[in-house]
Amino acid sequence: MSSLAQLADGACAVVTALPHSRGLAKRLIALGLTPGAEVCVLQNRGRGALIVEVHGARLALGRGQAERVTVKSTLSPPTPAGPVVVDE
Amino acid sequence: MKQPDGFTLALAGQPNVGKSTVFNALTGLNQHVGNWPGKTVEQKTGRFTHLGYHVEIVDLPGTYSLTSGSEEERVARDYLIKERPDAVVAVVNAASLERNLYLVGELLMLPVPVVVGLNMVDVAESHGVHVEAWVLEAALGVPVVELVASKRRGLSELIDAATALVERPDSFKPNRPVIRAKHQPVLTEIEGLLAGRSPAGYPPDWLALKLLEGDADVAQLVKNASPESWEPIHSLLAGHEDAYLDIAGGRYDWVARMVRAAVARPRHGVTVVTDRIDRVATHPFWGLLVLLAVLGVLFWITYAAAGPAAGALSGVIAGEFSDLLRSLLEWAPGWFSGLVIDGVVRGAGTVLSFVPILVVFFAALGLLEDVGYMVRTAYVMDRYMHWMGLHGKSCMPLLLGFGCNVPAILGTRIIEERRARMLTMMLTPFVPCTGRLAVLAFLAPAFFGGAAAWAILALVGGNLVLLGLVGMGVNRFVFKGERSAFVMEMPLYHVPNARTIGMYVWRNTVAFIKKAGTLIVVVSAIVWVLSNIPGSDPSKSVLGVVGRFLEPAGALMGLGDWRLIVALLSSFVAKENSVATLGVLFGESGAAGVAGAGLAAKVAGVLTPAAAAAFLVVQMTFVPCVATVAAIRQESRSWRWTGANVALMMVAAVVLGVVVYQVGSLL
Repeated sequence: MSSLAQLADGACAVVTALPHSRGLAKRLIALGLTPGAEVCVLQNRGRGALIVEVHGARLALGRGQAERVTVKSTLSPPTPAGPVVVDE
Repeated sequence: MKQPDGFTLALAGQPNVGKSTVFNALTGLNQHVGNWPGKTVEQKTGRFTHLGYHVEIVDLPGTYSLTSGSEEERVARDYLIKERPDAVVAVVNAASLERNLYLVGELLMLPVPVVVGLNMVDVAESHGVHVEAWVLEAALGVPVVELVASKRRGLSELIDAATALVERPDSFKPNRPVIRAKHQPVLTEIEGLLAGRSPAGYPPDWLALKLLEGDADVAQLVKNASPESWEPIHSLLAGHEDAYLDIAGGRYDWVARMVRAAVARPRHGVTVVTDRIDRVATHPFWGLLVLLAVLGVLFWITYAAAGPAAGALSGVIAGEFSDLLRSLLEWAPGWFSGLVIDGVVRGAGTVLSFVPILVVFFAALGLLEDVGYMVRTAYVMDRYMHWMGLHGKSCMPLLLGFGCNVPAILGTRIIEERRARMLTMMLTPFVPCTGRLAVLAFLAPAFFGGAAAWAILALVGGNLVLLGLVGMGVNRFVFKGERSAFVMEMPLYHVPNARTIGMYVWRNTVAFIKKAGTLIVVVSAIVWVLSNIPGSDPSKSVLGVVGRFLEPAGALMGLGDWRLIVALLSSFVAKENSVATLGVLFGESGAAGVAGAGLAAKVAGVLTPAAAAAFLVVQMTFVPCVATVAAIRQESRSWRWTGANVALMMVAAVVLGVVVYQVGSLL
């Protein structure tokens, strides 16, 4: 278990818990960050805000907020949510 | 229900789905923009005809869900439940379909049939995302129409589908999301407790679901409607406080089932256009350089393209147009033509001459917004905004402030937390608007000669430093360093659409003309009256007397000449007024913007270099103009906050003016 803010660029994980603040949790949910959702980090420079991808959309997330989202790392990058994958 | 010759549609959708593009394409200029009654949420309604029907369309606020309790979300769902439009058109972005369908899942629980407009399929394809509309339609049980709204593709089919639903509402058989099995019993129990006692007009199953989601508004509603049934419901809910997580999870389970067969995405790790651009545009160092370069080009284009047009326009208004009016008003008494020409027309002229600059500025900003760059500025600036307890989103209205502070104040609506919004509002007037920049550009060459460009840069930079210091101070001492949460969608980059940018320019410019125009004209007339009674010698007028009274205070800043003080006072009406007032008081008649270098030189003649610097510093930081004050009052709904803002700037201006003059005189 670690926080979303600890994931490196390109790493993916499953969200296990949201911040305790109900207001913030509800905003994150509406933007796709729910417990059980697969989240991939597109940009994490160790400081400042992160860019993550979840449910097919990109979000900018303040570091303070990312620190309060608990995740469980998945070993390899998963195939994304819509599982029909095209090979071109 | 459907009327014989017309019906009402509501347009719903999350932000960044091209909803306004759909709305504008359907209604053209046949739309009305106002506020929802009693709210600071924008309401857009419009009309069009389709297949012989008169269609009224209401654009609901763009929201990610109908749950988290922002004012926008309340407005949207109250409208759907209370006004019952004949159908909802839900616009979704094909490139982020999963997240977008979350809102559709919520809409399907309301008692209004839904049509889905699958928009931006072109942007999605260019990023390797392919959506089969008919597969999605089969899964949802809801009509799904492919759209490229920016090219007006699919709009007619979309309204065909909506019309078909309105004509035959019984044909609507959606596949609604269901709650996870774990919470089904408690939901049934709440429904039982509500049976026959739910507030009129609200579907009981929806009420039960919202109660379980911990919706405070719905709880209040049920409590008021039936106090006796509230007690058992309340104690039941106390044992399921985390149910909202499961309900949201269940909704995304439903979304996953809906898109399973319909969406094909590229393999993970494939670099799309947006990633390539963002590698530079959101980089902590390169991103900042890109932002500075973009701003540089923005200002260069604005002043290079619109500066001459603005000068010519104000020349025509102060010259030919005023002369024409003067000859038409020959019959009238002198005070009347004076009031009309020197008061009203000059005031209105000042406003109008700024329109070209604003149009170009808003067009450039609208372009940045439409391609998706504006949110990147918020991301890049986030780290620096934290110094003030703000986050990146505050950056966007502040940028708008360089054009005009009035739309910038309205633009703070994008900031969710009230605290962060109020602080951003307070900082906005420190951003030098085109009005102040014009005065600066007019006077600086005469004051500083060859060093004018550096002086302008230093003064603008000084304002931004002051903004930062005030922000840090207010955050530290008023808000005690509270942090606000930064969560924002980063849409994919896409090709800009001329129509969308055109509407952006149109709306912002109209807001400026309406707000500024009416106020400035009225106050200009008042200023003219005050500088002309009693008698026509300005130095003995009411305004002259006030100016003379303030001379000792002004002397501390090197501004011992009452005409300079009156010029600063008149900038309260509109920042650019300073120049016009100086024109009148220094006897350069026909003034406005065409006073020319002669006036600037005359003013420079009465000032020492230290006093000239003090004058410009005060001009740049003096109280917000009257239109901005009105906007702050309207948006903050607090006279105290508005008053504090004005007082803060006044004190800052005077203190800085004194310091600059006294220190400057020693050098």
